[in-house]
Amino acid sequence: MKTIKAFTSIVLGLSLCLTACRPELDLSPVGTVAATTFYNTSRDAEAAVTAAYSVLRTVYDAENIVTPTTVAADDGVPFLTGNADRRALWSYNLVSTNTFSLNVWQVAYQGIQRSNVVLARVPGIEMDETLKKRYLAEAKFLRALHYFNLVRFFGALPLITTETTSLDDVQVPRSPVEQVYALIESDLKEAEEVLPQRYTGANVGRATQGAAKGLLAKVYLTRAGNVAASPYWAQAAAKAKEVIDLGIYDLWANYADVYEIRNRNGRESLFEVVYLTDVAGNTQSTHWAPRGLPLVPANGYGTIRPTQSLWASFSAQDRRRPVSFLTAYTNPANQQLVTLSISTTDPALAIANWKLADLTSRILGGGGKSFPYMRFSDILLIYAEALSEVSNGPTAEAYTAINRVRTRAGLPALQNLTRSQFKDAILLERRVEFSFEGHRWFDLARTERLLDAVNAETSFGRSPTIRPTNVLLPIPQREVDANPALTQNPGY
Amino acid sequence: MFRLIQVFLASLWLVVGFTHSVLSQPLASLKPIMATSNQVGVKTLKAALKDLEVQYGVFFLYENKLIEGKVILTYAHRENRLSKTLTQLLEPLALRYEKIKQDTYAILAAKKEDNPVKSTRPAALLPESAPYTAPPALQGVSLTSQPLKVNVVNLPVQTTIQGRVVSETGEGLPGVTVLVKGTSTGTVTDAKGEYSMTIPDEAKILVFSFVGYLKQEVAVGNKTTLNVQLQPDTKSLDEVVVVGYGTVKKSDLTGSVSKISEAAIKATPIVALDRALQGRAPGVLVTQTSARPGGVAAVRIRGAGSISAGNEPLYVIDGFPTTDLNSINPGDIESLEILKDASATAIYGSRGSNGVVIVTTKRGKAGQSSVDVESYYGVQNNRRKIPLLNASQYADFINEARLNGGGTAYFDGSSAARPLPTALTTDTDWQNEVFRSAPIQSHQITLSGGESKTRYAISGNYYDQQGIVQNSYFKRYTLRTNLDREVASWLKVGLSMQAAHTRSNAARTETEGGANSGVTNSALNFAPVFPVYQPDGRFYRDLSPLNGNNVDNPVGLSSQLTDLNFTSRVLASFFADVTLAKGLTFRTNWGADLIGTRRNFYVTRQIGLGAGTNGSALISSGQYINWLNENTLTYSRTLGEKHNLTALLGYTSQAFRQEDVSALAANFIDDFGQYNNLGAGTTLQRPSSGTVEWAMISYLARLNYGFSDRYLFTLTARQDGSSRFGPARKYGFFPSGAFAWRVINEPFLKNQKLLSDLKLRASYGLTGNQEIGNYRFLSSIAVTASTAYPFGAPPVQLNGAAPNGISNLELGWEKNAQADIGVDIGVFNNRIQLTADYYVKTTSDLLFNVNVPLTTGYGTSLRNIGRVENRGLELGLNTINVTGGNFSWSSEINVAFNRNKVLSLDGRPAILTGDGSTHLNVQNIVQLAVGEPLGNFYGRVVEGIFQNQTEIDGSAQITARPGDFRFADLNGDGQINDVDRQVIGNGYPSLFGGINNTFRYKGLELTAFFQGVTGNDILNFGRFDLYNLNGNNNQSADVLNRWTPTNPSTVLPRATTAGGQRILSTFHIEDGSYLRLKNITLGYNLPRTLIARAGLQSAKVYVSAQNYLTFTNYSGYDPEVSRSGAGSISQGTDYGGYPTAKTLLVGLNLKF
Repeated sequence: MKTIKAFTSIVLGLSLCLTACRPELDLSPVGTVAATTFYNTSRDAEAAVTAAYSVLRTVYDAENIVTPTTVAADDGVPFLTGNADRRALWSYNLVSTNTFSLNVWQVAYQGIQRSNVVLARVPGIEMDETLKKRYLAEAKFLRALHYFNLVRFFGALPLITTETTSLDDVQVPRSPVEQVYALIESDLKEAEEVLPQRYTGANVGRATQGAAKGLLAKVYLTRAGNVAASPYWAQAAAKAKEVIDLGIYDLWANYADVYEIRNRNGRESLFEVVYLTDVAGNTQSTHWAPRGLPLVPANGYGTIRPTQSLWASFSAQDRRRPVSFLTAYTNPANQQLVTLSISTTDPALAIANWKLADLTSRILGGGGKSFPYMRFSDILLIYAEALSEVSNGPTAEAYTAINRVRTRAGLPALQNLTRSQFKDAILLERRVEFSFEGHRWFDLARTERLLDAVNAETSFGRSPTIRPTNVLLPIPQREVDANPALTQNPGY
Repeated sequence: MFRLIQVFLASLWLVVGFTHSVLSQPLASLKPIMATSNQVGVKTLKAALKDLEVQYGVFFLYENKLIEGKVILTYAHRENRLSKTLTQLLEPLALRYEKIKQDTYAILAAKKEDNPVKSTRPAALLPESAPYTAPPALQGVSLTSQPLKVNVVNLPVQTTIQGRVVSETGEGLPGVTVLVKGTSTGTVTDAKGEYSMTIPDEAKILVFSFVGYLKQEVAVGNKTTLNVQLQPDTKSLDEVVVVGYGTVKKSDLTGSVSKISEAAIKATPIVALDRALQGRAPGVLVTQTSARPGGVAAVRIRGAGSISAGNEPLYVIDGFPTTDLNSINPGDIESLEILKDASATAIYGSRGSNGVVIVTTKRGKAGQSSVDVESYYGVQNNRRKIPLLNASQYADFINEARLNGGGTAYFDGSSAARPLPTALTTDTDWQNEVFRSAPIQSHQITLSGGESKTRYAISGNYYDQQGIVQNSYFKRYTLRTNLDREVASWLKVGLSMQAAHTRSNAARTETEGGANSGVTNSALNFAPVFPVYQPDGRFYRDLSPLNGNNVDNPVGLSSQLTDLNFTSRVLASFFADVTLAKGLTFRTNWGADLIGTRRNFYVTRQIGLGAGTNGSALISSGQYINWLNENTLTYSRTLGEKHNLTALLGYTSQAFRQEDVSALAANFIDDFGQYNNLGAGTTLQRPSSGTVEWAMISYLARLNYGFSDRYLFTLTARQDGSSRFGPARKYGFFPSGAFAWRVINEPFLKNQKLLSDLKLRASYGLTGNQEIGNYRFLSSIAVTASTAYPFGAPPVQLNGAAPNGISNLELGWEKNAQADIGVDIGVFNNRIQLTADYYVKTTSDLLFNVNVPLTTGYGTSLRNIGRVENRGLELGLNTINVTGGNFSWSSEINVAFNRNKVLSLDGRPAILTGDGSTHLNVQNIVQLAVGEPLGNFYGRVVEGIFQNQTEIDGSAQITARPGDFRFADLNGDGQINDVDRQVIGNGYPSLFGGINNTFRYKGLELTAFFQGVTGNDILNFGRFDLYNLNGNNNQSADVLNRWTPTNPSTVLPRATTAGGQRILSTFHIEDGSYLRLKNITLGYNLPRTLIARAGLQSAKVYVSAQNYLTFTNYSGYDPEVSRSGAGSISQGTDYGGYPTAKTLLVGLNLKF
């Protein structure tokens, strides 16, 4: 009897266990989809493309591009007792472990991977073919944008054109600069063919034909370098002309309108990186504000202040100066007017870059002003520069182009300049028109003026130890460690 | 009449038993006595008990002397119930039993009331002639049919001696054997622990012995009253040790297992049981990662084997493998067993490689019901304040730094805000502002008892630890019920259940520095010239260059931030033991661990964290469901007299599901509603939720075979299936084998007195590690804020989706192979016991978060790659230095040496990694290199300070100034850069251990427990702030001795604002060795005469001090620190940690 009872209970217990309490071992994430089973619908394609755009918000927030292009050039002074790597960019004590170099590399390749995912997965999705082609072209535009940043900072690059789905063959050596540009060019050429001139409604803000053409113009301009006879000058001029001839872009009457939130993706914008106030914002306001400024979330950091030479590049009547800089403010606590200075050693009283500050934001990292990636004034100045180089001196058309920019700024029109005077004028114009917009270092590097400019900017005790090899940043040490196939840039 | 005879004969037997035990009479001489029918045979009592152990799956504890030499009649039929059988068996032998815990019975001498030895006429039997006497009333064997050959010798009656024998806690001990040394004259104590007997005149020494206690010899002298306190024999060989899915006697262990007793667990006020492991067991390194109330500890058993996966041991509480020790009441714990070698841990397979800690909570014992009250109350104070500059010293320093940096003096008297250093009116000691004296208390009531069939233990505990940082605390309320019931002779059921609620307010500590600083960091950085409050009453905040690190007001950080964490938990398990046949038991165990957590966070607009957002609130909540089912079949059998066999088969399954949700809001009109009304926030942020699951299915088997109590073999195997691994590698197999040789039982050691125990052990086995996150083999689609982008006019955020990593479908177990050889030695009747183990542990197929090229679009990927070796020596020594009537002294010493070595990585010879500091811009603090140990700090080498320009001109630092650091140009290329780095320290100790001393004098008890580590270094990130000399923040008082032209320091550089942040170098590495008087306790057991009237069985009062004495050269708050928590890569780093408290407390233990 006892044995029967025991036996029954054990059989019952065990059978209960082997069925009811046998948990499933093939678990996959709850709430998320496996990468292998996603990418089936046009919504999935759209999500993949969106993710590719999303990386731009990191690339163009605060320090990623702006710090190397200002501090390592002659436009910005870092907060002197702050981040040592930022100071190293400024003093050119650059080493391969510099985190700014690492960040540039990391987010760009993340963006490239997101584009490669689109290019790998979307073609297999059954969906509207026109839309599909557009998505692929958008991804190529973005991939070209990232590679263009990378090639200018680092030179030869590992050229990744396919999605990484396994750990095999991930140690890719660097391809020559020529091959990188070949990819950039082919990506942009496909983009300019496929992408529409304009978008409406919910699609505004995506890459357009004009953006692709404009970027291509910038690529050619960069490739022309400092070589007077370069064939790229003509190509740059031609592409810029194509953009101008589209007839859909124009300058805002007031420089200030460029940065107004209400003018997002407006007439002057070929492409911009969009942020939403306090929803998906940036930290521009807090970083560039004078240290402790009580007008921005978390008070100002004073991370980088404009140099005296940048300030001096603006003539007194330049309408861009009051838009670009904060020179005084009223303290809300006591209604006192605080006047800022370009030369004070106190970072709390320093004049600050101000055009991207969104004072409606309440959250640190909630700034809602777009980052102007490429504006029509850029196209005009590319056109003017390239045309002058092609024509061995400025033509009337070149003067027209640069003077459109100058006139809006309230500056007198230029005339009667030599080829080299005109080049100088273009670079000065670019410096003030695009201050803190991520152009300066690239402009100095491509025109081989970086060393002179850096050595000339010595305010706040800067005594840079810049060497000719510093026209390229070091390949991040972490990357060299993880990928033995990489060679380091000379000098690092 | 019959009864009288029975009693008489039984009492004779008792004496016979003593006699034999004293003189070690060979058993054989007792054998050839009787066989009256074919149904009845003779068996030694010892063998009979062994049979019962096997048959009922129980253990008997007894003193050999009590049992040896006794024989019983065997017969065909015996009662089914163990209790009846035992009674039948023991009663006639003047023995009784007591069930002391589940499955464990103590065999004791019968109580005095039943014991005719009480008679004033002692009987002594001549051993040679001691025959077998049939226990009466068993089979109705005619007693008179057997001849009684007992030579009774009358001894002169001289003295009557009496007294009381008490336990270490002062309770009366019944059943203690009291013998005149060298004779067989003796008695046993009664229920109150009292005895009385007459002894011969020449008797000099009385011997007191009792199971589980150390034998004690006391000189008689002229005394007529002899009270004795016995000391527990915590290392008794008959002690039962809990191992996975069963128990074994300590003497039968083949593996390396350490046991921590209840006394050691309760010696120090601890929040969680892992803290009780510290310094108590060889090879177990415990590091409190945060000293905050409710902080956690990192536990390393035999070193760190894993680089990216978990290194914490598996905790099994009453059979339930689980985590979150802070919500388990350590006051309920009876013992902790630490399984260390592969033979012991392989039964836990894939979760065994970091060692296993088996936690057994107290269960009711049959017998008298008791009520235990245990309370303590104490005061905690900051163990150490870091000496800092005061206001005028600070102002001088700032002026000097600014002048040296090419600027002008700040404190120049030019305005009210910039007075001269001598005219400063504010001098705030920020450490005093945020630290406080804080109470700690714990109160517990335990009700326990039961009868032979039903036993219970019910306890309630309240633990309340206020933190020494303002506003921080941890409180816990627990209720435990453990029930056991024998439903039928073949069915036993039991329940273990604990309900707990914990609540804590976490101070902001162990954070990044700079603008994200927590309380301690800001208290060290914020200038002493700043006031706590502005004139308008708001917190003083400062964003001037005097606060270059941008830290917030320390008092604001400690008072304006609320971070409440609640946990409600029920951990319950039920078992049923079914005896299917003789020696065959089936056990099923069902349990669930249900946890609900809640976090309420709010920061007001009074401090920077909340000012930018006008108050910021977060609530999050989680639900964790963890269920377990285990089914085991155990077969135990003794074949012949010599072959002991136990086999175990099992099937277990466990599954876990966690769901979390959180929501944030900011921009509140005022700070009134805090986290209670998120909807009142103007800015509502993206809510989040998530669910994860894991599951395991396991099959296990174990075979124990013992031959002749000399050769012991254990084989175990476990097959684990886990949801965490790739489709190709879901299952893993983990076998182990062990052999032990009880040399002491060899005949050639029979005739010596020196050795009381000698056992050699050897084991080898494989275990695994699966402590990685869930779904890590799979790339899944992430939809997060960082995949969204705003499109449209006006723009609207559109969700995007992107893969979150690279799939690795081959991802499998981390494997751990361990070889162990050990020896257990006992000499002088186990007064000195030594356990030594040497092990080699190799972890391969590491679950290694490998850096992949960023060109893939991802940062890391989890792979099975690399090997790490730990080898080491563990020594445990227990000695009873003095034992006697009133005074005793015993010591427990353990030390361990562990050497760690990385055997291979992901193909690279070395990797730079480690948790740096974003604020300090320090990355890659650690170099992992093949052939080197884990935890090597990597940086520059400071050779000294440049004293003059000549030194600089001849150096690799031509831009330096006198007073700057001189770094070693390690590669001799004439430049100082990142290539000039080498290993500059290691975060793991090479030697660690503990020493406990217990002194007892009458009712007084003094314990002193030392614990320490040596050979390790600490990367003190705090030095980047406190010794940066760049005028950003306040400094350590040491910088008064900084380099100046007139004070040519060779250690501290000059002050200069141009100095900027420092670069990681030997300057930031400090020796982390320490020896600490962790605990010293003086207790007093109140005399029984005093407490009896209050109905008390025992009462103890004590005072105890923790952390009052620490020998260390470390300059931070405490050398026991781990900023990176339990991670294995960056052990031994310190930044902004919660300071360790020293505690003084008084306690009271009452037993009714």
